Amino acid sequence: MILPGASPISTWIPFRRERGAQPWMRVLCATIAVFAIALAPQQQGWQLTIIGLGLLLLCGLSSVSALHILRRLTVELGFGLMLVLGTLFREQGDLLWQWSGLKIYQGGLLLFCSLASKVLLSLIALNLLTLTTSQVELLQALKQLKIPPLLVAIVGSMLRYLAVLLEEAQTLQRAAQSRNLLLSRLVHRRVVGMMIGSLFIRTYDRGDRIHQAMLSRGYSGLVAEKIPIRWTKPDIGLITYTIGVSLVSMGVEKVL
Amino acid sequence: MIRCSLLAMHMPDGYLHATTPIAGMIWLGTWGLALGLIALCLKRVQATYDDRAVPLMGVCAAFIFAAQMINFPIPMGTSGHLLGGTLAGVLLGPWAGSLVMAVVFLVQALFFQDGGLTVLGANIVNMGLVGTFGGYYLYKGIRRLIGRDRWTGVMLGAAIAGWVSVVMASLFCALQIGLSGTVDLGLVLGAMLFWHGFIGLGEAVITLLALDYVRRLRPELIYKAPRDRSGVASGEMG
Repeated sequence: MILPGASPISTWIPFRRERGAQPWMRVLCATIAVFAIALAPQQQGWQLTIIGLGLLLLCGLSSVSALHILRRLTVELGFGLMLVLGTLFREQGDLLWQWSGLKIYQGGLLLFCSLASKVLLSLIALNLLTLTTSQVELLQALKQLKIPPLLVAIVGSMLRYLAVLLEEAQTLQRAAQSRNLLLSRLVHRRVVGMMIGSLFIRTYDRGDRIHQAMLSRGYSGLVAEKIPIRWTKPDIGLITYTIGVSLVSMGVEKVL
Repeated sequence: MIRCSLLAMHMPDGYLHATTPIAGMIWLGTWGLALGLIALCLKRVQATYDDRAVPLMGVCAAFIFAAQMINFPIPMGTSGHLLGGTLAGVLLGPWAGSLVMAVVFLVQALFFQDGGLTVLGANIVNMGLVGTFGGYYLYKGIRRLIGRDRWTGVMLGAAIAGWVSVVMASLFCALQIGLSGTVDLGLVLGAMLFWHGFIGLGEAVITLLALDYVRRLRPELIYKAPRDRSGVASGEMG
């Protein structure tokens, strides 16, 4: 196991919470990786395999446990695969399997595998980013990458109050359940409609209260904040590695 | 009970690509439209809400996210959840509503890995531009036709716009997927429009019920323009 600071190599390990590449570089590299994965031509097995191996190596070197990533992937991949399932039944190539009205052709199976691999690899890249970078660091990184400050501030404000709003929505649902209001489908829909209306009124009032609280603390609009970008060794390592793996994967696909 | 997620319209990474000229044009075109929409929305929201923009848009985006977590039964024995585009447009106006939806999609893609990062442009176009912006102007047209201050105009406008916005968003999504060559165009068009016809009914009913509740408690949130609402929630205008 490589510990931070244990050897000179550790200073080049990019995806670690401590002494790794800076958050802005992680966001940039994760974006490059996801674009390289998603924009790869369909059914390019070698290209995706090499990017996958590159990502696995990064996961192994990162400070995130494989179990943690796997646990998140199980949930996220389920949704992703549900959405790409339709491609499995595309009528192209030889018929491989048939049951009742369901037919799976070679072309459909290859396309499904290709899309499923893309969904899986993109999820690994983004999970690696969010598991090694806190929300505050991600917001700071977005600012450094020249995303409009108002947009970043709104995203930050949303993330800050998300837990409060989710808890409020759950409280409303619990209250309706405890009064047996969600038993009939018709009443259920009516109660959900009222719940959402009530949640909006509470939200709007909360927004005004937050604004008043911000004003009382001296807030007078967004202040232009310049955060300089400086490069460190792990940053250079990570960007070289990301671009290198992407180029090698494309080269290997062409050769084979 | 099968959970029929509205996020079937919420494309994952890999669904759109740039390997053919048409697919590339769709991918780049949706990104261009989405970035243009966000830039315009930011400008208009900043002008309308001034220093209230950050707290109000932030909590409203959190509201849409939370509202999407509440499931309700829809026809065909499945359950769905609110998409919220038309509701956001009616309650916050087209610019703020579209911005809130775009922020929700950005947060879902980047922070929660729900919906792809590379197809964020397409998702914002489908559910932000078509769903919210288009939905709002349809609602406004119907409301003006029936009578701007009549409650039937608001109800009918919101219900029709709610259904149409979901169906139109699914149509755009199906066209993008089909024309990119990911799935057969006829197949994806049929499947998306069939299911979203039912899902849109749920969206229309919930939008209507939520607005009815807001009208009974706080009618000014529906009848007053967003820029005239300053101080309402803090009790200054009763």
